[in-house]
Amino acid sequence: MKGLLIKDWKLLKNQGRFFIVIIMISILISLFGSRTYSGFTTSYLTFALSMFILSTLSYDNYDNGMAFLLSLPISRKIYVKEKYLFALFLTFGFWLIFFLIDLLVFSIRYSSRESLQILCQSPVYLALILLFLSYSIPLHLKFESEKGRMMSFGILGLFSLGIFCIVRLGMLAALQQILTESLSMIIGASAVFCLLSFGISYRISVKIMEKKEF
Amino acid sequence: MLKLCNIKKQYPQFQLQCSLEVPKNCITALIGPNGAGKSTAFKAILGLIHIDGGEIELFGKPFCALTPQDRTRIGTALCNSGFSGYLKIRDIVPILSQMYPEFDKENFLEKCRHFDLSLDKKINDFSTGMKAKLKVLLAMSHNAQLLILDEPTVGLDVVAREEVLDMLREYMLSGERSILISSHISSDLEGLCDDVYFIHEGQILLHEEIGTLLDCYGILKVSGEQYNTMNQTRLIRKKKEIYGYSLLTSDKQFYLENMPELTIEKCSIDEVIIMMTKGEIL
Amino acid sequence: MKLIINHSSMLPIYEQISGQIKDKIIHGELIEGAALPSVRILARELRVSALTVKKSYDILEQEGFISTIHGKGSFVTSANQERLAEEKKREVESELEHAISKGRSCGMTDQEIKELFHIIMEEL
Repeated sequence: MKGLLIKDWKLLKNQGRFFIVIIMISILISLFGSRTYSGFTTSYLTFALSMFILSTLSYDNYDNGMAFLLSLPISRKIYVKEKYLFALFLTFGFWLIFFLIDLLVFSIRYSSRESLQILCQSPVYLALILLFLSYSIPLHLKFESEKGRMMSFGILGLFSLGIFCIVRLGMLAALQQILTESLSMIIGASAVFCLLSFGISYRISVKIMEKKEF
Repeated sequence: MLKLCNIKKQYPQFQLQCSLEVPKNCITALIGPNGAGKSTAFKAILGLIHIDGGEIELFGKPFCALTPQDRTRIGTALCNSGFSGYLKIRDIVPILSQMYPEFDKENFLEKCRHFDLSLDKKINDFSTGMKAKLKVLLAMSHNAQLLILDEPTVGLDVVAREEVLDMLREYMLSGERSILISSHISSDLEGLCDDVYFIHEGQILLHEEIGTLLDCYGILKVSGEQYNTMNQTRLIRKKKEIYGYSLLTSDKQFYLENMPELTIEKCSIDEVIIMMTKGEIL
Repeated sequence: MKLIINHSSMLPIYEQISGQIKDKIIHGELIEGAALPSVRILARELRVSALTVKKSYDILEQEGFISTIHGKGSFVTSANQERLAEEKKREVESELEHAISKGRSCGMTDQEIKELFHIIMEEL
């Protein structure tokens, strides 16, 4: 598995310059952006970077490369395990970097209470990104890259639509009330939910890979 | 070393059903026209597809009992699949070091230098020939006991092909090793392999030692009258020609001695393929 | 070992190999006790199948020219030059017998056969 991690890491290093640009943009936005944008941009950037996980799946599938990969001394389970581990590392790693950047910048720019408010949103985005990966990775494994990508964004779209409906139907106020009342419980439940979905996603992905033929 | 016992794989338009064996210290060739089932057989051996019936045995163990450790004893080169083209050789070396405990880094890098394979160039930027050489070098880089090579010389010019074949001959000099190789280019195989399986439309039609094929098999070129009067017992295939018939025999010595007036030629693997595929079964 | 294989010849390759090695032994190029290259090494040199080389080595062993020690290789035995020459003579004898009886069977007279024999001898 270590070999696979090295491979994916090398593939991403090729995109190294792109990463540096992204980090620079993040710093700039945090430094000079207006307050409303600050937390959002970094979480969006983390999201974009975690998409690279999915791109490693594309790299693997490109040019019939999976046939050779699976002929190496790894089991399909190990292949999936590595992808999920890599996803965790990358997402968490970048989230941490941006979080620290934000922490630094906000403590300079804003009052501590305001910074805290903004920064509390960050873990939420982390959880959402993990959720997104939870359903995207199995989709990418089951269907080829193009279809998989379309489907994951489709589901994201549906989710956005759902939020939109909630707002429209005036249920937002009710939702906010629930949130403020049992915040800690909800946080706890969400965290568990995210981890659980990640775990379930892993099991599903293993099953998909073991059935697949190349 | 490797045994396929009556394996079956059903596709909508095609069915593979074959048995073959690669003994220790042996170079076995699998030849056949495009779509005959060579790649399917290879995929089955490498676990890329699930078989519908039969058994595969590697190193004396059934396929499902193979550990990742066992699989490090296999070296693979597939003609239409390899490492991602965005990687460089320098990137691949640490990957292989991790995956294969017996990866010989020095030797591998030395061979890359010898074949002018730049370590810092993306694989996508290599020529077809260089990609092919790299695949074979990778397969041979970790002291594998069994090499599975699917069309390793495709895209190579004559000189490069001979270099690769010589690498394979050298590879066989040490230890107990075996090679299963498939190729279109039969002339390569004649100077390398010990035995040959001929596959067509998913079935093994012929299995012979190379020596027998080259020494005992022959092509007879006869006129219609000659065909009608000759002894036909040792003929395998018949093909209509302008002058009469061309015939494949498994015992050209018999005809050399008893019917020396016939035009009798040595057989190359190519001609065997053509006769077995296009000829009428006798 | 300097052997020359003719891939276009009708003579099987294993016979070419064993024949040439036999000649070397008879003519003293390969002396008693000399080691022959391993099967794989010779196969590589000649660019032929290892099984073919093995076959020729087996024949040489059967005929008493070499002996194989497992794990060490094949070596030229103490060949009796005269015995080898005798054997060659016997082979020539039987081939002549074969040719003569064939000639007779297809209707040639003994005179015609003798004439043919002389013509061929002149040509070679």
